Amino acid sequence: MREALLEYVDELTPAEAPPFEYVEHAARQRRHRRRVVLAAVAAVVVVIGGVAATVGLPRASEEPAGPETTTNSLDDGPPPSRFKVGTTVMVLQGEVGVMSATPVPDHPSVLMVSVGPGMGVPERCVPSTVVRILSQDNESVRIAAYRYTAVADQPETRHCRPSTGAIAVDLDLRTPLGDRTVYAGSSGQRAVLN
Amino acid sequence: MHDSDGDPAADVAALYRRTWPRLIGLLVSIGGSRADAEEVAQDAYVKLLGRWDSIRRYDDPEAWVRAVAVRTLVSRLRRQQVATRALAKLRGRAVAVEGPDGDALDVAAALARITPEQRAVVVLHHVMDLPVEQIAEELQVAPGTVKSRLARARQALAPLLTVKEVSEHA
Repeated sequence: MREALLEYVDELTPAEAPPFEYVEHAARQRRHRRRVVLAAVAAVVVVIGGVAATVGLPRASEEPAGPETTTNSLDDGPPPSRFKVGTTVMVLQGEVGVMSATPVPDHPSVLMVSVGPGMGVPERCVPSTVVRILSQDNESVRIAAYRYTAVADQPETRHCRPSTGAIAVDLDLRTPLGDRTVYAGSSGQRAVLN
Repeated sequence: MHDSDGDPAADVAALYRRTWPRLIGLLVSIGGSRADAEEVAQDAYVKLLGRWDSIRRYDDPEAWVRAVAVRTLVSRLRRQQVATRALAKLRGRAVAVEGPDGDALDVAAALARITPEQRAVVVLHHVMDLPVEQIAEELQVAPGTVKSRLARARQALAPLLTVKEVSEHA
């Protein structure tokens, strides 16, 4: 049996090996494939990490103002029907009265707008009061305040202390107020600052 | 043990040129096609090239390449057998064992009657003259397993190959 097997294996044994360059080429290909796979895995991890980090963050473009007292920016025009703070969706309830508007010393284009008492909404945690510049020209500025409520009890509002006092909102007109008249409300001629 | 610190590629190339032909003969006799054998062998030498720093210290680097290649081929053949049987079951037909064509058809046909694991043990023992313990180490099985595979393979092959030898001498 041994002789038969030896003879058989001898017949199957080639005379010489092919060039070693084939092995080196295959080794290079394998290293290249490994690098490509590692790069692809790293790219996927970075993308997933980026998405995960972005999803939970509040989006600046959807946040009209910070909590309690803040400077509104890019807040011209009618109020949005809803906006998000983190995962909390704030829905427009309606217009509320502006109590007063006073210039801020050393900031000629900024008004501190005082808005009527809160309605028990957690103003300290999410901005439920928004002041908008409805129109302005060389003679006057028209502003209005709006109140929003959270759609439901959500993470951002769960541990917030409700605000019931007057709320002050800094409003940047982006041009100096000068001696212009400030009208409050989306309609009417109620001047809060002459 | 080898302690030379020469060019790794040159050292592996020298080993490759010396050992590749016999490894191919071994792999084809275990049951692989020539293409399978060359692919498996190349994979083994590529691995050797990548790990030469540690493997060059072994007493017998050739044994490492052979072990890797034989194990890879045997597992590949086992998978092929499983797939072939599953396909035959699905089709409702019996599996026909095919041996390679050529002058050594009798030996090939005899080897085709035993499993790839048994073929590996028989060829390593009777052709490469490896002792049972080394075969067990290279195939990563127990020595008792090697012995039982060897016994079953001899039992299956003996009548076929003895008949051939008797008829040749007659």
